[in-house]
Amino acid sequence: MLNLSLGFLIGIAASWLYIQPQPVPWYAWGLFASGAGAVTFGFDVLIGSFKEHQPRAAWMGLGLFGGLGVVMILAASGLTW
Amino acid sequence: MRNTVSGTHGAFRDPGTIPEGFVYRDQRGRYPWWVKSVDRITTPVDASTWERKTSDKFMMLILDPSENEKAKARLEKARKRMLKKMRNQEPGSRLQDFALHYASETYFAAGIDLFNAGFITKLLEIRAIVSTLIHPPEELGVPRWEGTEEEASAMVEAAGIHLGASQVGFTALNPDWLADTVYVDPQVEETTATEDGRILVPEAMKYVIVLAGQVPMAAQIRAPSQIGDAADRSGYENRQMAWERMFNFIKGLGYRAEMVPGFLTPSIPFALMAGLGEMGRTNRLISPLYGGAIRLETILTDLPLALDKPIDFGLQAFCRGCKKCAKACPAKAISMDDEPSWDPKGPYSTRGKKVWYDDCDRCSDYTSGNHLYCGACLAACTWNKDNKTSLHAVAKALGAKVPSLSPLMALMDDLFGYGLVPKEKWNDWWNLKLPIKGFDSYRTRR
Repeated sequence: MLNLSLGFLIGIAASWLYIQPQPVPWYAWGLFASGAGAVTFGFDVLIGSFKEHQPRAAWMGLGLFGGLGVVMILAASGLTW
Repeated sequence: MRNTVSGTHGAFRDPGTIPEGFVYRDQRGRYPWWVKSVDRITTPVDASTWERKTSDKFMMLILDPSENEKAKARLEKARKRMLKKMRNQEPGSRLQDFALHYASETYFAAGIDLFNAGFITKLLEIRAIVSTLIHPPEELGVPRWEGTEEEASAMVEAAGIHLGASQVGFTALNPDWLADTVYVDPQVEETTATEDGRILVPEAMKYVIVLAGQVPMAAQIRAPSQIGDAADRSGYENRQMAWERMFNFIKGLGYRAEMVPGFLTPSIPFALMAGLGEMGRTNRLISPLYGGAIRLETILTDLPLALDKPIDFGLQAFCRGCKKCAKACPAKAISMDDEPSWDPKGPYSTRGKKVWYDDCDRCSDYTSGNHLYCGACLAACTWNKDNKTSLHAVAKALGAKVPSLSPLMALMDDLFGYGLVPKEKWNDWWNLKLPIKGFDSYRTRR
């Protein structure tokens, strides 16, 4: 369910980028895709680490990789305005 | 000194290189891409100084009657210390923790009243009992199983996993790896114990099946405590059960099998040759899949098998910089040296290999003095990870391919909270929702 939700949210974000009146440069797409990958990886660490009973690793993983991913997505969004 | 009675030396050019004249299994798909299959173990071995001796101090204490008395007295002191901890309800030392430890080794022969009954006698008794359950082909009036070496290995591996092993590997019996009381002798047809205390193994028993029993991670990282010991004993028992069952399986196929205890046929060299791992800083085998969370045992057989090859996942370089195990050792028995050495530490180390020798005296004094098996070094290993997140796959690939990053990776490992659990959280183990036997078992086979 979480994977589905993540995919849905990333799909919405990608659609938003796609419908921008200005054409989105290739590097913004690249940055967005890397950011989306990092967010997904952050959630993978979060969920997997809780299953492994490693709560500190879970939050560290989300913070580190997810945080980095959000910054990249925001930067990609900034490049389109 | 080389095994002089042996007639199988011709196959071995040097002790650490794969022997000639055997069939080898296709190693593709056995491990992730970052584990290389190689023709020589990554531990340097010097055949001219190689020493064959029963090197396990703990076993020496049991086998030597005078040492046995000392060990009993030592254990009594440790028992009192442990009981004091239990009365004080110290984490990991409560009655339920202690009960769990001993329940975990219910069927593990070495755990049966170790200092009050003959260990070997008990093993023989167990073998006699399990032998009654075998129905070999001659009893059934059918020919013994026949097939190619590859088919035999695939079949034995499948059976081994079913019978409780988490990994199965195959190698040849290199007589140099045996303890100095065990010899390969072309003159004997059955494994024979001589009056002067030697064990003679028939030359036809030239195949070795190496079985790995998995250690439940969540309990293991609560070492050194009775909960950590429960994990250690579970690993040994998993291996023990697979060992005894595999003995029956091979007999059931119509072939000979020998369960020679690990202190006579040291499991680690055979496991290295069978590609189950590399020697780590702990001076013990580290698996790319399970880290230090496996326990090993071997079966000798005359069933022709296709052999596995040693592996290289960069551990020799990785261990130089990591040192997590050495920092975790409560007895300070693990080497902190940057480089491995040819010089053994104390009378219980074996010469002839370049490793990070551990101080067996310190280790055994700490464990026997505290009524523990400990295992903290193996529990703390950076490679000792579950596989519920792809973070570990990425980190292991990075560690194997860029092992010079190991100090940074050890730091990240600490930051992420991996390694040993602090004492105040040991009792939390009882509230964790864990899989059956404490581990998921799907990593077992290619």
